[in-house]
Amino acid sequence: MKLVLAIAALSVLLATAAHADPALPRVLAVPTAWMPPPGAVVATAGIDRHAAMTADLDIGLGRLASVEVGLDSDSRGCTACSEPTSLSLGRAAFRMGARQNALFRGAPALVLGFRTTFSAHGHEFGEARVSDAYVVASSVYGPVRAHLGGQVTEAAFGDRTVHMKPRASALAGLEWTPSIYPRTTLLADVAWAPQFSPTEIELEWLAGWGVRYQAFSWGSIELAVRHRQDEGLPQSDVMVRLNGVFAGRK
Amino acid sequence: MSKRQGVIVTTVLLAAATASAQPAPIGAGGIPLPPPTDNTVATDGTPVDPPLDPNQPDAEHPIPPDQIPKDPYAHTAEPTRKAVPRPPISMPEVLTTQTGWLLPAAVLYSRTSIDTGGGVTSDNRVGLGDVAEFGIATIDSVREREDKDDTNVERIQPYVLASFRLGVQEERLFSGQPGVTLGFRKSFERNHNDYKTQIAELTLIASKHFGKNTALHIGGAFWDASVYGQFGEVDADGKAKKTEVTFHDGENFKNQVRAFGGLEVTPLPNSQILVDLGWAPEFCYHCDDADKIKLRPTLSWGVRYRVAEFMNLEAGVKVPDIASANLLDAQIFGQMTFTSWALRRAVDSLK
Repeated sequence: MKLVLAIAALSVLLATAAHADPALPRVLAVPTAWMPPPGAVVATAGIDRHAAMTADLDIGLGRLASVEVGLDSDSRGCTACSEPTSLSLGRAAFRMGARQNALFRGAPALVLGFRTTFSAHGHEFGEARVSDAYVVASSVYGPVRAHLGGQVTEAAFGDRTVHMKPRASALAGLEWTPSIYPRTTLLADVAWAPQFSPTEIELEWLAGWGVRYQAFSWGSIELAVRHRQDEGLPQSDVMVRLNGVFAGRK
Repeated sequence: MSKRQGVIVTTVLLAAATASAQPAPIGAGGIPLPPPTDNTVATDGTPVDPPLDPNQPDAEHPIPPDQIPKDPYAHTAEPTRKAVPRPPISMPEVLTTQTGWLLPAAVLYSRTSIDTGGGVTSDNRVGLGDVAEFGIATIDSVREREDKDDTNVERIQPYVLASFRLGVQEERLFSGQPGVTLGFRKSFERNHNDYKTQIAELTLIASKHFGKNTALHIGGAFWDASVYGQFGEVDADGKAKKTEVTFHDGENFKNQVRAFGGLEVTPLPNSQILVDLGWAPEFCYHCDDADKIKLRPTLSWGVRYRVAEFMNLEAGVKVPDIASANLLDAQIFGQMTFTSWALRRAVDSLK
């Protein structure tokens, strides 16, 4: 909670103006290849119906890269495994890439990213660590923005006594902004995240769909539903998220 | 005439003679000033114009600006300091490895880094006469493990080092000559978990720009290290004995020699992509003597963003042992680099 408030306060302090380019570094769970402008800050804070918080601060570095710091609840853990709960993991990411058309005319935006956890709390999986490296290509086709990529994930906990070796998985996401509702974007994505149990760690898929409403030129609100592997509809998560894109002071 | 009156008259005469020997006061443009006159007021008290001097400046003969007399007692401002254009500084480090470029004379350099594993490092240097560089640094790349099956390899930090490098700047001797640096750095003794360790590294590296936007660094390093502690041996009395194992005790000299290097690409004016490959020692306390000290390859990649002339922000990913293909040990780091010409300016002002 403190981290979410701190990120929100920092975002307001840094905020001066908005910019128009696609800048959000993720669809719902899938990373995009969009990079914030130099010195710009993309702030995100969200909560789901289980009160699991997410928060993220993405800072642009010289139009080539960005650094992310935040709190993530994509991974889950369970002891009896009848109803796994989200794990709060502090995460940092470094993303480096090229913008659309930078490599050649018509080239998609490309990003090479690396994410790792730096703290974990509120659960029984001591020293839980999740690291993943990913490549994602993003491209704009009229009102549609498509994202496709792959990632390699490795996870462990308990002094690495329980360890999931690097596993590859796919990433896909889609955003559609209907021309009759220019402020509204429909979102859908599929990603994979680790599920921790006392004896093993397995990857499970998570699929999300929802709506992003661009309330302000600098800010948007998202309402989304997330389904996970081996989970019925009643267990699906509903989440709300706020995004802000702020240019640095000039 | 009394003696006192004689002294007074003599003094007056001498003063008059001295005064009459002085040249006439010089006015603007070397024009002698007119003799003082008290005729500016008539005897009836009405003001009288002083007599016109044909040599005095007037509207038809203005004083040239460079000959306007100045008040010698007026407060004069400090002479303004000329801004000396400084060339961009070629950095002495890529991300984690050294380059063949030295800091210019009396230029200060400071880098502070943090990473997601809790590592904090600092590197502070000063350029010496365009041919050498001295620095003090703390690093977090030296690692330790209990035995070869220990998967939880820990970092020993802070590990304090002093470094000295000397070399020749790029293009100094002949056209196309790379910057070449011979460097030596050595740690202070570090006591951690009852083991005393030390490391030392001798490097020779060449760095060269290819065009405006690319630079390559290639070098070789000769490493040495030592570890002192209890490795399970006992003395004649059956007591645990402490012994020292050094890297150079090994039979194979090649184990101490490694190649390293880096690449810098500048696709945008203030942004660079950096990649480097270096080596770092790892101590394994309960391995065989031959395996107690190993060098592990470290790969780093990232971006340098030039925020201001004196400040760079760098961020990237550091993989401490790429041979193990272990994503969990990889760390995301951020670092700030400052350079300053302040000492150079101070030195120049003394000349």
